Amino acid sequence: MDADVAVIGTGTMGSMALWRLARAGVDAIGFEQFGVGHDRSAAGGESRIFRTAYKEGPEYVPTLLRAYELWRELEAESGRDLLTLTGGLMIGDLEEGGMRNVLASIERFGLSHEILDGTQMAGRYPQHTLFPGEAAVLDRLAGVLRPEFAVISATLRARRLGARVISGTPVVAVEPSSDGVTVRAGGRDYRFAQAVITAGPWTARFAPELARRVSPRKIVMTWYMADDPAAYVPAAFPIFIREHRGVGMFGIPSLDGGSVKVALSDTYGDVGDADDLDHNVAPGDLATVNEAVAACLPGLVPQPIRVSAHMDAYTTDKHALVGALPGARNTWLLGGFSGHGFKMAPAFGQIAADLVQHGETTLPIDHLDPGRFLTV
Amino acid sequence: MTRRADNGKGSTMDADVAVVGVGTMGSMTCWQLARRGASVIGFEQFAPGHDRSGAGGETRIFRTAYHEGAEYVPLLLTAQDQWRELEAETGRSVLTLNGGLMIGPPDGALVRSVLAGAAAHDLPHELLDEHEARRRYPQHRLEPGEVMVLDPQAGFLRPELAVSLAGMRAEELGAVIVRHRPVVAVEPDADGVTIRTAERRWRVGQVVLAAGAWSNRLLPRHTPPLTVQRLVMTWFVARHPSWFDVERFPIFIRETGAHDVSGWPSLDGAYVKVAVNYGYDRVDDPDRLERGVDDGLLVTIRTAVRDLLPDLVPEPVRIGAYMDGYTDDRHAVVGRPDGLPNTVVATGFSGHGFKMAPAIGRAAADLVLRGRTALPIGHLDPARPAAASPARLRTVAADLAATARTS
Repeated sequence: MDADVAVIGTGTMGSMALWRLARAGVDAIGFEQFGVGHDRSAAGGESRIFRTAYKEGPEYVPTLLRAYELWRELEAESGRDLLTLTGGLMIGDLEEGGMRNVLASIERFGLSHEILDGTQMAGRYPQHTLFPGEAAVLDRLAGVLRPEFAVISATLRARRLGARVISGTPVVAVEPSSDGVTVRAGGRDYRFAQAVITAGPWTARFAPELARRVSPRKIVMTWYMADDPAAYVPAAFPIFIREHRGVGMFGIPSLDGGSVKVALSDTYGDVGDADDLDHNVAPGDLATVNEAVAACLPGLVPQPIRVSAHMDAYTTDKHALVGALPGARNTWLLGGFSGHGFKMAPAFGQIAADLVQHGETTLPIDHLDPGRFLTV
Repeated sequence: MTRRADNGKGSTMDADVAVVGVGTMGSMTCWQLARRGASVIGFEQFAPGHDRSGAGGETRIFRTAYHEGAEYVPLLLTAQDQWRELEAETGRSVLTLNGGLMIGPPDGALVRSVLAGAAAHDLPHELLDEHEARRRYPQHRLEPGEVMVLDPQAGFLRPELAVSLAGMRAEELGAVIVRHRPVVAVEPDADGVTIRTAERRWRVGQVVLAAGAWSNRLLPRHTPPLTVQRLVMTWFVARHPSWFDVERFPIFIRETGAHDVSGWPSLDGAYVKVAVNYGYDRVDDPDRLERGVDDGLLVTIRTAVRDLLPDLVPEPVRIGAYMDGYTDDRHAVVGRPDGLPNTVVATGFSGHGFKMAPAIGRAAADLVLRGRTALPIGHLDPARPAAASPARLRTVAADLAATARTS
């Protein structure tokens, strides 16, 4: 055997899996087709949102709370700031589905929060224009993550704890059998007892039976200039999520003293093959986000000064695939995070390490079982 | 909307001056014209501050000890004043002077020309020998014998902010900026200039052509041929981010062996930008600037970062692709082209124009309003003799292809 465990892809989830495995004393090798911290996939663009009052569903909250602890642990082990709490504003109609999930998360788990009506918002967060019927829920356990720092910190830390990383080496095949897993990469075969597939947008390549259910989609981030930059620094401007006329968007305070990131929650369409992500964004494709910015954030100049393209694997129900690779007992799949996985990454790293060591985890992942897509 | 201007011959004009392209040079020209009371229309195919051409990527170098030629120093000193005036008029910070390090062997072209420029114009500077350089700036791994010249008047500009602010300030002062309207034709005649967009024609007294990478398209026979190069900026993560704070890490330019790179401090506490000082490859059509960068082309910058800045993780975490038009002699073209009435061009900045943009805007405004400028732009004259042999444009792609052939 080359090691106990192979981790296929050391991006967001893989770097965290490698860290948690190495920390548990499991001998692991990570395979990365590019370099550690590359910008060619899902992680990147300087910031990601952390939040706990979860519009996607309260079933995620235990994982989010565990992720919060683990972000702080990774900060302590690496000596780097990875998560800055700014609070998070979830803006919308409190009766609408996503907002009901936010309130249900708060109620079920006793999350620290405030509810602000339009008048209170105008007083405290005048950067936002609220429309009739809208209110905001301030999630106090929310803020900004630094994605590149996080991936690099977890990988460097894993290495220090004994993990190996083979970078610049695409994995061609992962072949589980009854007595182990063969990983074909860089012109040779590696042997492991188990494998963890954290291939992000490339997930379907390693799980062909799920190919109709998970595919890469393009994510575009856009940054805008503020008329008054002091109003958009982390201390003054919580991260936010809202919907306006059916267009979902999120925003992150200015980290560089000049630009504010506001981007669409929705994707910019299918990527096709993840090897062929098109980094170009036609000016016309930015009309939707520019109009949303103009309507909701009048203090920003509604024309982006920076645009970047990323991608993530989306499942048909926008919940991830976490569990045994269909048909295998020694290969674990963590993919299809559908644009909302980054904040939970170290908890999923923990889940990967739990599954490898114990075949199960105490964190709730039943709703993410890949098997849900295999029933006829 | 548009202030009407009379050309003195009875027919009304849409404005005194049109500025075609409200990017780096065009925004500064609009501002300089508007603050002097001219009525101005700026035409921009996108919107001021966009990231689809030369300006972008968060920082640009500012420096006065200029290795491209001592004749630029007065322009750069004017530019410094003008950057400060833009800041004063807008209440925003665009220029941070955190010092600049020119790094290389003492007999190399970079260090020698910077020292010569500093001596000729009596600019403050400090020469750090290898020992002192290592002590003060341990972020850089030096080759034996390498030195640093510290230019305290150097630092960085905020390009997107600067262009947006100049455009906004020009509008406050009465300029009109027509956004999302590509200019399809510029037709100068003895009485003025006709500007055509797809929607309508506009009539102005004079035009300033500041179309950057698109310049050749509008007046091809009257502007020098430009080779458009793709410029790629790359950002890296530091193992010790605080070493790269603005206060501790001056901007730098470095020529060490085959490495020719620049770097900027971290503005967001996370990224450090280090970029190759020449183009990656040629852009055939500026409408189709490719923003994706092939992994194979990143070998050059990865190797440079690994060799020169050991605290950085040598994998770019952010990549930005931009472009600029290069002339044969790498000097810009600023002035009135022969045979074209009522026309001023400001183009071909060859990858080193941003820092001087407000001085160029001022020179263009002088030429429009007074027919001449006191600023020393003789070396940028459109009528200067062509370079005897065009300077070879180094590109990352050509270097890598040559290496592949010889190995």
